Amino acid sequence: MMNMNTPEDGRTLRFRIAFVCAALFFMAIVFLLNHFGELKAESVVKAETAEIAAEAFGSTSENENRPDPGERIRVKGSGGRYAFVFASEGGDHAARGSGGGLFFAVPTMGGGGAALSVFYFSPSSGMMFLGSRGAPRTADVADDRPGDTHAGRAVSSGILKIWMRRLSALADTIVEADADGRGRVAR
Amino acid sequence: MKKHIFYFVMSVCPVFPALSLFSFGLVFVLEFCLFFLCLLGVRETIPHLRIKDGCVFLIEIPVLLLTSAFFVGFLKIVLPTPAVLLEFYLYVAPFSYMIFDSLVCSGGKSGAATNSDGYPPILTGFVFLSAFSLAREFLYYGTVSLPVFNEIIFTRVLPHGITVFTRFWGSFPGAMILTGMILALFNFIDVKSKNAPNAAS
Repeated sequence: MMNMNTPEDGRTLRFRIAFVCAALFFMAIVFLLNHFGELKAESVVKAETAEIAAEAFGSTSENENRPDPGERIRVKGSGGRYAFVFASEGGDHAARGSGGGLFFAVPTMGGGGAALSVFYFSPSSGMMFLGSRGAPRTADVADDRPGDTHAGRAVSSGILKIWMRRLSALADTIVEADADGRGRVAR
Repeated sequence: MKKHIFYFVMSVCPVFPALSLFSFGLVFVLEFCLFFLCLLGVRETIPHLRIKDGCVFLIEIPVLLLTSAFFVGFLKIVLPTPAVLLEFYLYVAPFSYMIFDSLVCSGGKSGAATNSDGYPPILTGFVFLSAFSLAREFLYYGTVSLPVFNEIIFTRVLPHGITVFTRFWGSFPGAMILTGMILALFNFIDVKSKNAPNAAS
């Protein structure tokens, strides 16, 4: 504990109080910035996920039953910290043709760098890789087909398989399959 | 300068996988720039707080972590997708910066201050980060990317056919091998140039 006997000690104490106040103010700014940043990131990632899903499942005119990312689900568990999980839209998530599905948008890292990879899970079809974003498309990526785990040249098929296994385990904790094979998001 | 490059490469190793695009490299340059300015400010303030030397780290590391949290929040608003992709590595960067800083200022002086050559040592790091990420993107994708608000724009500079041959050197393992070879070449030239006057005499 500082003994305030000299004017120098008083000055130091004032400096310390000012430093702590500045730190608290900065923390408040960081908190607010991260809060609004998270909201913005969520909307952008959701839009990217919807775009990738539309490419993978075909446009609305071609397939009216294609799943779309809806409400974000916050999950705790392996691989979940940096993953954006969206329930596929449609009431209780079982009304649409694809059943109660989940979209996973995760930052995957491969030899070619980082890419936002999107996976789709439903109890009937299992885990499926839809595509990735964040890196320029190379000639062979342009030939990618939905569901092809060898796609996405920024990320190798081995890494995608690891993610699929990890996310399948995570999805099992979120989606409860009904007797008829359709899914329901457990709350 | 050569010594600083070696120190920088050693300390920034954990974020190498993320430096796949030039725009990602620029993001890290901006973050390190913020660290540099924050540490400069904190080190100006610390003498007024009369804190024991051993406890200075206890202030610097939280300040750097807060700075990286601030930067991630800011990046999520300005460039959401890269922020999501690089979030983990942006939080690793403060530790890399502290390692570089402690290696450079092993003589007791602040690494944030100018060195004997008259420039801050981290400038070497900025050049390295930009060059490394640019080379990786150029060799792997054949493009150059620049960050603009909300997205990244890509400009193709190499045709698809050529990148088939250069891709390995742009991938993470290839880039590491290439960096090692370039640093070894620098070292070799340096040793040769030092030995040349001795051999002549």
